[in-house]
Amino acid sequence: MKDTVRLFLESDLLERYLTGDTDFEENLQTEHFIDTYPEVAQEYDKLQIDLEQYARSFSKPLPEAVKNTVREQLSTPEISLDAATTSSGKRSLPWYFAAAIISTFLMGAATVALWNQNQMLTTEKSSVVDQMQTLKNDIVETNSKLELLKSKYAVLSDPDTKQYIFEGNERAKNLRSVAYINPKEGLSAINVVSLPDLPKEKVFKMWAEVNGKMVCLGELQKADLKLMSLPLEAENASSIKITIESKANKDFAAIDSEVAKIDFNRD
Amino acid sequence: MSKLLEQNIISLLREKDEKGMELLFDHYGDALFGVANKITKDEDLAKDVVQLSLMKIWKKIDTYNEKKSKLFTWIFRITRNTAIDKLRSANLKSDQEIQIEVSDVYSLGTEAVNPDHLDVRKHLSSLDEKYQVVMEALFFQGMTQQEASEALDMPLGTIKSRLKIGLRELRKIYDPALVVFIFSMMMN
Repeated sequence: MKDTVRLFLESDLLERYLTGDTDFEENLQTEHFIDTYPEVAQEYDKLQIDLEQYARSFSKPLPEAVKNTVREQLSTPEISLDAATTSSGKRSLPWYFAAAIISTFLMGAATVALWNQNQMLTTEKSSVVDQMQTLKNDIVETNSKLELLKSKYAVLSDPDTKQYIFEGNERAKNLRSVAYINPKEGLSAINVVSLPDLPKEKVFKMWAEVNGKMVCLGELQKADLKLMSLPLEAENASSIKITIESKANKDFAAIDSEVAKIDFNRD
Repeated sequence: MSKLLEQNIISLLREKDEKGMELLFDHYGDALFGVANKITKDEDLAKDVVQLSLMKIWKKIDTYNEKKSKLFTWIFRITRNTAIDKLRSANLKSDQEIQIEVSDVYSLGTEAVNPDHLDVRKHLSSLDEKYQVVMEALFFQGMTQQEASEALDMPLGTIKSRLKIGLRELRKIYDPALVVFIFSMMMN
């Protein structure tokens, strides 16, 4: 006899398999031994016979009442082991118990689903609030831009506004700008139509002559036909001129650097 | 139990023919009731166990595989496990009850006792008690050999050997051919 077979027979696996006390893996192992080794199969057959004889030695007449109850249950359609009654007449699992379990399960599932939906809606709500805040900020920004534009274009629509055209001399032939000045309302703006290209260190600067003094109004830049506000000094100026200056100079306007000039006739 | 009768019962049960159940009553009913009684030690509980077991057999006959076990082995397993479950739940219930009813009167069955069973039992009682104790623990109390070893305070090896010797002795009691053989040997 092989050692594995001897060891198997010495264990209690076969006896436990006989009485149904083995688990799934043990069942597979035992059935493999029974199918593979004739001596194990023989021992198993012997044990089955012994068990039957041993169990039959305790036989006791089965009461007629038990037989009758079983006969009654067999004649009842749709026999269910769960619903089968015992001789004491008690149901093993009442229908309402099953209904309660099912409804509890359904309520649990519904609760989980609703909770998930609530979480999703909360996230969505927070996203909408963020979007609303962004939109509000945009509106505020747009309003302020609108106000700025209104003030810029107010100068154009006012009948007291006068239009002055700057045209560059031979040093800046391409220079063309239009200035709008309203001395009554104290509004002024300039529209730079075109500016010639300059070396990197040079810029166009605008000056206003106020009470005989040249005041720097700022640097002229290509603004893609946008209307730029001019500082307040422009309204009181007797003339405005554009010069080509080095970037650092804010103090004086050299005569030889002048490229365009307008004299205002206040009368 | 003849192989032919066993096959007939299985076929009838599979066809859901109630004659199969009647044959089961006649040829296995007493044995199953005896097993249930032996485990539960309570006749009312044993009746419930057999009734439930017979219904399980009726419902689950399609899962029975003749190649894996004899019909008796299969229905024994069902009855034994049902009885152990029933006993455990009954014990649990009685533990939970505040008032415990105590019955000093042992309930005896009103049914007539089969003389054949008495005869067999008489022979069985001739088997040494040390073997009977081990076999009862393993077959009727749902113990593994290890559990029986602990419960009976015996080495595992002793449990194994007593089971084997007990079964061998039992075979001598039941096997008529062997009895004839022993008798003829004695005559010679």
